[in-house]
Amino acid sequence: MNRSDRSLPLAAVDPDPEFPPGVDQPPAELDRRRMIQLLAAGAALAGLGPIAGCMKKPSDRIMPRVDQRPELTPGVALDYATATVMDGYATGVLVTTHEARPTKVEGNPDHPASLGATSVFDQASVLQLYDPDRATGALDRGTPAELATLVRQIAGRERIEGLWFLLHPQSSPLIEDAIARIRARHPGARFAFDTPVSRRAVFEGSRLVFGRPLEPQYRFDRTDAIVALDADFLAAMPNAVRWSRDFAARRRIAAPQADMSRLYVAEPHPTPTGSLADHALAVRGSELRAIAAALLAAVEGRAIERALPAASAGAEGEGARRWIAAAARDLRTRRGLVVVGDRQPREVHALGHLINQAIGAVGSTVVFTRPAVIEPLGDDLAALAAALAAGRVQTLVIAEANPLYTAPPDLGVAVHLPRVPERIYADLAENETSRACHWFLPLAHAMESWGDARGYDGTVTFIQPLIQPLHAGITLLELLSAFAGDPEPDGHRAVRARYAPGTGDEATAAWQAALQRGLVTGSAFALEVAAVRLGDAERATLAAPPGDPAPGPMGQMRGQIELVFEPSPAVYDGRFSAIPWLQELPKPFDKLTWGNAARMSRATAAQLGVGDHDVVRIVAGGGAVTVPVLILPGHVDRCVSLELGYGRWAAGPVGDGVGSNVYSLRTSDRPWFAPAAGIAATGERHRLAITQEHQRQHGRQIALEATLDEYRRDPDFTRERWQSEPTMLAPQFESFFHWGMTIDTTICSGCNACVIACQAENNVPTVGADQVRRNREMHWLRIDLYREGGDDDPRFIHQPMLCQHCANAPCEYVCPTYATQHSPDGLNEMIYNRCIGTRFCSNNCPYKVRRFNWFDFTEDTARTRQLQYNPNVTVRSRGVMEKCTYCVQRIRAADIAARKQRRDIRPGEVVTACQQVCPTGAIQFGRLDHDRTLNVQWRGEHRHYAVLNQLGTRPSTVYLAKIWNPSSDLPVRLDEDTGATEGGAQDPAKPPGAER
Amino acid sequence: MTPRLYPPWSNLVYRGALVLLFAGAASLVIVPMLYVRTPYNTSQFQPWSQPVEFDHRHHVRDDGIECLYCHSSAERSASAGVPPTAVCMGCHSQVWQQSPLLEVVRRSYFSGQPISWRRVHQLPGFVYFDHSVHIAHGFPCERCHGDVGRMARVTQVAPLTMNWCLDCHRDFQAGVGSERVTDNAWTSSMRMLFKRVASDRRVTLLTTCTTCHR
Repeated sequence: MNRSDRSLPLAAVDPDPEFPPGVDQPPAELDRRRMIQLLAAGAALAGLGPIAGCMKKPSDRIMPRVDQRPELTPGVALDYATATVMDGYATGVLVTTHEARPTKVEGNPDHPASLGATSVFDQASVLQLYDPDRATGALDRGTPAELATLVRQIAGRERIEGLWFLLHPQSSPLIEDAIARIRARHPGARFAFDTPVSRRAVFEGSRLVFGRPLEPQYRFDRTDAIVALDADFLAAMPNAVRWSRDFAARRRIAAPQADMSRLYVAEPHPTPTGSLADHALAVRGSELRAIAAALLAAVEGRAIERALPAASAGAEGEGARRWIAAAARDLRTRRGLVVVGDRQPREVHALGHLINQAIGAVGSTVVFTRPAVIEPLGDDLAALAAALAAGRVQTLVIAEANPLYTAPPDLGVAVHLPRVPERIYADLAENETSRACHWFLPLAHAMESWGDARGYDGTVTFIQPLIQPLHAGITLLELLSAFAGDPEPDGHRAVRARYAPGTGDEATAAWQAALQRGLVTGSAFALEVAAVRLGDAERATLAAPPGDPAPGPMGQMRGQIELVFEPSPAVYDGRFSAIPWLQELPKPFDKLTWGNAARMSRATAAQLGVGDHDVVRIVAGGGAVTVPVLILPGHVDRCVSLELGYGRWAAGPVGDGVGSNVYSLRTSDRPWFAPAAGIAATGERHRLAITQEHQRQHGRQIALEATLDEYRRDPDFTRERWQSEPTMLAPQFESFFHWGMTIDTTICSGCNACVIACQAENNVPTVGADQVRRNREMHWLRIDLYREGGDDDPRFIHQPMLCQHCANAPCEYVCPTYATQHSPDGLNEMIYNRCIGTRFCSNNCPYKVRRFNWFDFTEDTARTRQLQYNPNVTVRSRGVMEKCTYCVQRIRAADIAARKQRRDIRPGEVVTACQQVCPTGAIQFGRLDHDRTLNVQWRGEHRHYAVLNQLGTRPSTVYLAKIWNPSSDLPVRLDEDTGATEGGAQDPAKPPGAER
Repeated sequence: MTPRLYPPWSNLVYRGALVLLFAGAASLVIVPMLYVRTPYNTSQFQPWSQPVEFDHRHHVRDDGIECLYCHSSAERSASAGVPPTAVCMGCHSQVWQQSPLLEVVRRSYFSGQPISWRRVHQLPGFVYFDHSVHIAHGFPCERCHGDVGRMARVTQVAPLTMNWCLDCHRDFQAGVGSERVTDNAWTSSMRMLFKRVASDRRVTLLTTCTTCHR
């Protein structure tokens, strides 16, 4: 099919067409004659179908347990409190197990880093457990070996010379103990804690200002004006799940007269946090130091011009200067807070602390504790690389880290690592680095392990196993214990010895209770007194404008192109490459799946003479990669952002060869922002797999927005989108109760947690890049992204789109087999075994939320991954339509529980998967007769609306319009789509003949 | 007069052929629909042989053991549950501990390998049935499973077709019986819960598709 790209060269008439050219042409490959032949053959084959369907089922087997366990009842799921750990930071989770199979991860409401929600990665960790390519046993120089033998060999050794460990950052108190014991047994043992997404700069920044590394604990729920300097605190920072909830508490506006916080974000490319910003400033990553210095000057009442580079004095720097002035004013006059992102160098963090100090935020909106991770400023990968180069490393132990894939080339790890006499590697699966090591020890997954870890605020969180190890495996704690001399390390024993040393009944009961809670109550760190210990000279150095760094002045179209690296919002640094859910996750702003791209602004692309899908060759840091281009509105000019975590070559069949490996462009001294030595088009094209290629509304009022002032002036600005339309249809059966969902787009950051949660709960398959290119992705819940305003300064609206469960559902009228119909409690039901796959319903659905199984995707799913399936949801086969059911299995389970107790379903008893996982709490669900629930209260707000209400579908899902809180000091952003925000305006962009 | 091309009975043949054609077309639909409802297809009344010659008649009638003693999750779970080997051994470590009939049970108990029973009541695909809610509403075991206490080998007495389910879901009073529904002596005269259940406004939900298909 001759499908063209979503964007045309700038010379085209319409710079942003809704449909690619050629979509109204007949397909070239299939002519009418062939089509009829196929139809006839299909009809003949279809006749055979019923015969196959009528065949007698083979008889099943029932295998009951042998022993009797009081806590296990077949058919009743159990939740266990445990934790997921990312780079040392633990999130408390509750994992649902069915017949001892972990199937779903939910947040632990008692855990301070979760509050009941989880991130994308926490959700996907259950699929990592079932990765069919996990290592099944230990290897000694490539040949299978007995794990226990190797462990005993390790434990038998003493005083190993030149012993180095390379680990991810760790926070576990037990691991801290083990490390101390290793140092006693092997004097001179060195530990490097590092990750490609290192937070070292954060601690260096606080050491610079406060004299010791401290972890900032932000209090977004008490903050009215937030300035985020390249800080994606709603999605990409360690405590993002918790902070999202806190942020939403001050951001969600319940009534027009209520107050809401204001958010300023300066960042190189759009992020979930930036898409909620009232004032987003696109700046290159290296320019943030000047911005921070100017902001400090402004809050201290000095002139900001002197803090900025001279070149920004002209008209081009005007926008940035006004942004800084407005932000400084809000910081001073309201309860303010500056947040600096993990990518920024220590100087920017130091400046952030100074600003917070100056506005009185320290102690109120930000407090400090000691870092949860061990030795935050100890050895890092660079230190290890220096030791490797000097030949001082005799025995190298690497766990989880993958330096041969992630290390910047200038460290020379790839050259020196193979010269180490003894190399031991441990991870879940073999990878790039393990291939270069002598021993490979399989690590156990967190869901198979005993252990502990600290949350961001220091809360000690337990890790407990939910399943017997699927393969032979050892935990990191056990491996370290072996090095400390324990020939038979046992994680369970270690955890019990530390947290529940007693043996009596009382001690056991207390231990059980603590495990059930999942954390040690009151174990969060005490607050530290953070006093600025910065000399005037150092202060002046920080505040001075940077001399002449390679990057040019802000907003200018001169100088070299800057490369910005970003951990992928889907596969992070590459450690999740083997998880198909994450590979197929549409990323928040480009909706790109299965790969990464060189993302840049439209102007930069025009300057380079490239468009979407054109492959460019980027040279930087001694390496070169080819990567396709993707134009991203809101991206800063003269800058290219690249996602880490792709282009792996030893990640297994799912992750291998997906995207381009941009680690080779990184350097150790400039890991995040670096000038590109060269970018040139190669003339090749690679069609990226994108799920949403168009982001304009063309005035159709699909996702509504207003500023706070507009909302106060006209609270009912959404009236056109909720008033009922005249209809000729017979009134639907109105039941006494009805399920409904309400989604507040004001606090939706587009973090994608709901998309993965839905996939995990409802057995939604992944389809692969090729099928995504054919628009056959299966996500029941997608997040539509709408873009208003100009390309340089766009406003983004995230709109989670799922089945709207219309009262007058267009799909129901056209189904020839009644496979989709309405329930008395207002659900639009989908009955798979009645569906014959005509796809009429999908054709007639105005929201395009129905998905068709073009192939038997389940059959292609690895057997171990099938263990993750939710047994309460049908696994669909080929030729069947499916869609969001409002998690009907949870509704019916609650109904059954209520019926058994002769009561009604209680308010809040049914929680959908997307609602449960949402970090900001933007999704509410419930029965409409439960008046006191948030769901019903939100629906009563002025700004509610129904998408495509004019079609008379009467959806059960209601949205709340996005409210912006712009500063009056800054100009209102221009709107390209006239009529998009104004209630009564006619839409001039509507093409003739569209609708009606 | 032109000679007749066809003899007079050819009309009859032609009409007959027409009838057969339509009947044949109709039977293409009807016959499979009848077939799937036959006891052969639903496995109704089929006596399966099991790895252990377990006799419900003896345990239920002679010993008077309640259904729930072994199928203990029926009240709490969707699945009634087949007892773990440990439940068998609870008694049979004391009685009949040498019986050759129990050899399989003992082997399972001491080796830790489960007994592989044959499923007798196999619901059609795409159905989520919940035992507990039926029990809680006074629906007796025997209504679906028959008088197991008189069966040497357990057979499926109900057809387990959708229509059979809907017979009660449309007219649920039909099945409701005694409070102690797991009694072995259920009689249809003990209909104590009628009125309470009949006044339940959520009854309408009992016939919507997602009650059973999710």
